[in-house]
Amino acid sequence: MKSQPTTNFGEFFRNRRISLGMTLRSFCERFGYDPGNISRLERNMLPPTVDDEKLAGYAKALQISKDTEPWVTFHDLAYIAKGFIPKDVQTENTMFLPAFFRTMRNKKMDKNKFEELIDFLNDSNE
Amino acid sequence: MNKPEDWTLRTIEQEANKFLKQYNPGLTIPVPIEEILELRLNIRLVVYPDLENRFGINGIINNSFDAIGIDEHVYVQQKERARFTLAEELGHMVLHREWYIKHGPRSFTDFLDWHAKLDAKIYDYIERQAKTFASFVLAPSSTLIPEWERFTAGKSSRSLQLDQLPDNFPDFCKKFGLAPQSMLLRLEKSGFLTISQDQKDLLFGKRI
Repeated sequence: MKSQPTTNFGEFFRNRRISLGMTLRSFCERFGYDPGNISRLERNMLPPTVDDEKLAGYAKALQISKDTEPWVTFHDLAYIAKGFIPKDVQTENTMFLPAFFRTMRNKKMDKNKFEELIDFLNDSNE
Repeated sequence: MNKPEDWTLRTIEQEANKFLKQYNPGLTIPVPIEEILELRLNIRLVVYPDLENRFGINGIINNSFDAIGIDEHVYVQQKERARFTLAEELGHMVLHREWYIKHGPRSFTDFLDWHAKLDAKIYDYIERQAKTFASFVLAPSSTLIPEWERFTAGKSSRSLQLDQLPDNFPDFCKKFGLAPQSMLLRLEKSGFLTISQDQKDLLFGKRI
């Protein structure tokens, strides 16, 4: 499989998963991963592990064969991402800004709570 | 482009059918909504822990309509509810995207004010329309009607009162991958079920 051009670990990870035809749910169910963690990993909100065994596990799940070009890219991106601080590189274009959202009782949210929500949606520590 | 106040039950159903024709032409049920969302539409699915507990929100779509957020507990533990939530967010994409692009906030600084100023009535329309879209996508009439006819074959009428529902109703819902509460409202919309306001208050809480 040909790798798509990518700039970061999360994007690379997600592109591989999607190109294999796996939804987040099917990927996590099949390989026993936590959807919340994989979701954060794919958004670069959680730095990837650089533990060789764990990285190899991800690589296997993503059908990245050892010592191929994607294997090297995958590992390089993981090491780069380890020192990556998401908040510092986020711009208005990459932030998750809500257009619509459904609250439990269809009630509008006040401005302060809304600001808190935006912080929450874009905070790497959440 | 429709304004939120222009959408009707009929036009929302038409949009839902158009959507299904494009993304689920074989009318598979349960509708593979997560596959459509992630693999066909390439929408990024973002799972947030505690979104519902902290903000009372189970689903959210971003302003470029290429990412949908969902509460982690709902996604992991309540699959049927998650399916409905995701379909609702897709409803916003289909029904409200153009309107939002034209009338939504023009800049980042305008963003908070726009939401604060959005008319509560319009907000309410928007959310109800997305919910209606979801119910038509996940239980399209072309599949729901024959299934309902089979399900109620032994009854004297196709149109039932809530207390006339057979005990195996949850199995009927499971065929569509819908939670019973969502299916009840879907059936009511098509006139197959009558639910009194008292029963609704009891089942769904006030204000449905």
